Amino acid sequence: MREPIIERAFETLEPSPNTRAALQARVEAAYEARPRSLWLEWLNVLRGRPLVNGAWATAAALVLFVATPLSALPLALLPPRAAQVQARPSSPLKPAPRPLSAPRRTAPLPARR
Amino acid sequence: MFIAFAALDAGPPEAPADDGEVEQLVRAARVGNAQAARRLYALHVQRVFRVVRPFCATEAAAEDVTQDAFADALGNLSRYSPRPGARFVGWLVTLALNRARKQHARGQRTEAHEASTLEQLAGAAEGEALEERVLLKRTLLAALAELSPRDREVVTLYFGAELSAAEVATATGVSAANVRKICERASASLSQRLRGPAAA
Repeated sequence: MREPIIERAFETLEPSPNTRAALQARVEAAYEARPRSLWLEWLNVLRGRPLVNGAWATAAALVLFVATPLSALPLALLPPRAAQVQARPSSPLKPAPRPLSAPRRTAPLPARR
Repeated sequence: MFIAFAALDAGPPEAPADDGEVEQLVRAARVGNAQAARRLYALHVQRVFRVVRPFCATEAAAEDVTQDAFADALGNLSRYSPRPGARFVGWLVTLALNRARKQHARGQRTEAHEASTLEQLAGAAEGEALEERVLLKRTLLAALAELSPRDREVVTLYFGAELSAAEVATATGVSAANVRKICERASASLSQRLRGPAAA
């Protein structure tokens, strides 16, 4: 269906090399000046090749965390551990304390004479 | 680190021949590889310009639309998701066509008899009959201007951007069968009309 004369006619619509070069310079300038967000750049990196770039990013983050004092920061933020005083364990020989509610059995006082 | 990732994703240095390599360039440009973006531009600028030109009154307006379309596309490559049957060029020319439509709707009507000077075609290969090219261009623009807006879009995408009937159908919303019909009809009338000045 694509006739050669129509293809040749559409070729005449193409921009001249000078126009193309001028256009390229303008497009490049617009591309370089595009607004960039760091998060979007990272998202694009992960979208491009999720597995490979994700693995690289994870490895880089691990190296950054381990090889720098970065790991000390979260540890420094934790509260220091206070020494805990534990109660002395009770002796098994010691009788268990009586419940308070139980009536006290006391020996009857000697009668007065 | 980011630069290292971008360098890892560098596209092929030679001109890509198939869609797989174009996809590779798209991935590289998406992570900020300017060389890949430049290559994408060089590969597609002619097709985009051929699509945009019939909807613009002048060459300068077509240049502006092409520039805006490329800046938009290359700056928002994350919006493009490759699917089977939907090539990058289809997405790109659809963006450009939308911009051209807006410009056309703003009242800048296509002038069929625009003064296509020899300077505008001075970049053509030496030895080629420039006058014949000028005449062909004028005749083509005049013939396209006479088509209905829908038919013009279909014909321009099919012949200008060299999209398949299915891709044109996706871009325009016309069914693939109708695209084929429109193109067959337009092909007969266009070739008849273009043979006149070409033979003269």
